[in-house]
Amino acid sequence: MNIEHLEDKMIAALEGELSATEYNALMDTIETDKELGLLWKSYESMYSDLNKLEMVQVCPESKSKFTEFLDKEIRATQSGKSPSSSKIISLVDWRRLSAIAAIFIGAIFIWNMGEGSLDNGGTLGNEKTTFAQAMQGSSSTEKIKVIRVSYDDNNLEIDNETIKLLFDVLRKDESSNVRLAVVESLSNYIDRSDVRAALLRSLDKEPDGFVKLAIIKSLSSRFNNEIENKFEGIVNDKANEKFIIDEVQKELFRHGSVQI
Amino acid sequence: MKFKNIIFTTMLLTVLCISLNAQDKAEYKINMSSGTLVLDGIDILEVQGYNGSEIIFSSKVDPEDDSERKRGLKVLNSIGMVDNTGLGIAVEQDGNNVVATQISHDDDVKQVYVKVPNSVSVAIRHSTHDAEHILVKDFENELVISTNHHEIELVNVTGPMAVKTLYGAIEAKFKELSQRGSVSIYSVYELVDITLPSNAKADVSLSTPYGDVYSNASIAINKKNTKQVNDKSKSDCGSCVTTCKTETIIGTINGGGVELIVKSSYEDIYLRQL
Repeated sequence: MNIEHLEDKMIAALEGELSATEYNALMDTIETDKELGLLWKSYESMYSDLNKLEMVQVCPESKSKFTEFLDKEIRATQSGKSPSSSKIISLVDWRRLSAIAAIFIGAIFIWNMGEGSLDNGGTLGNEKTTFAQAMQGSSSTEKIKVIRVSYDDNNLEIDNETIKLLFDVLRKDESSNVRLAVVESLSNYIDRSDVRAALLRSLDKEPDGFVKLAIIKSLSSRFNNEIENKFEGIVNDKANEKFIIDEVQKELFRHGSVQI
Repeated sequence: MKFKNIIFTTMLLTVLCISLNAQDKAEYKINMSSGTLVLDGIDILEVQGYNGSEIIFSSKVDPEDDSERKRGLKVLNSIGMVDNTGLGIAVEQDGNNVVATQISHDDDVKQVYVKVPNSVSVAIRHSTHDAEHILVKDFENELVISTNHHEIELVNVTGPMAVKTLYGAIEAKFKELSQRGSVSIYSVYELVDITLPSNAKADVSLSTPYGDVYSNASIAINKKNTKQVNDKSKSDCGSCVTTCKTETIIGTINGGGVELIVKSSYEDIYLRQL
């Protein structure tokens, strides 16, 4: 995989276009290379700075007024009449004007997009920013509070970006209590195959027995062949703690596996 | 007669001195008024909050144990930590935090008492089988406990807190229920017993798949959100296996407030309100 491809992936990750599985794979790759880590941090910082920019309130009539002005100018030029003396525009000025117009229209477009997303999702964007910020500087109990808020009983839909943020916390947070809260929150979305896949992978890396138990419990609620294979691997690996093996055996037994 | 009295008094004073000396606590102090105190791998631990600016570690030391053989030497461990306190623990500054790690396995020194300023957060972690008991009392700041085998007793605490133990019971008596952060108290294999003051405001979530919930608290149960469902495990081919009952009681106390999450996977939950 070349660096350009990885950069594309990083941008896609920051744009929220990657699935949790793809995102975790990318994070694994980044962790193996210091340069990639620096590159990722620079992109992250750039996106973070962009997110901090305040939304500029543009007058809704500006776009129509500007278009009206351009139409008038074009009609005047086509009819051979010279525009009013105050609006004599040279060829060079036209180019400049076009560039300004492009930027202006672009700004209006972005503004409209921003307005549209707020209409659709309330303050979802702000919530995600708050979530990400809370995961960086807050105490463990504050993080747990925010993580639990990320789950809404009345809305079982969750976007990829929030899932990704939760898995990021599960992978990186030092506090096992915080990671436990993440697993509990993700358990609400265990019907999603990407959530199951990422939880399965995290079983290998999770150092805390309590959190492991929570992952096992969560996965057991949507038992399938893949989970069964993973559980059998855990039972056969005697390096695992006894209570983990016992719990997995219990789940295998519950689901009619012939392990016991 | 007078001589006998003097001898008797001298002997009595000697015995008293020895007795007092045996109960003397060796102390180690460190200035700290913010940040987190991390207490790592301490088997028997008592933490007490107070309004001060020093962390005071202490441990009952038996003077007879301070033998000539040990004199001038320090306990070491395999990762290069040294007992720099004389209490069998290594105390190190880590940025804004202080980390205290037990490195002695001597029964006489593995019981550690810590007085902590209420302006400091406390994080306790432990994972081995040697764990016995943790007592935290009169503490008003954030408390995070993650342990596998400790029994945990919390007296006159306020939260916020995140407490979990695999094999130990948890008993918590709240002086008041802080409305900042969250309060989560989990045990997998043992009971959880919580006592709240009468004016505590909380959004409660009580979960025990294999146990019962006992309470005298006036919980306004949110029946809409309370999960009482059969945990159906679906295989990819669509078949379902009905397994155990998963019950989570969700409700509010005194109109609701801070999130209070209590779980015991295999034992009962007791929620008392004074």
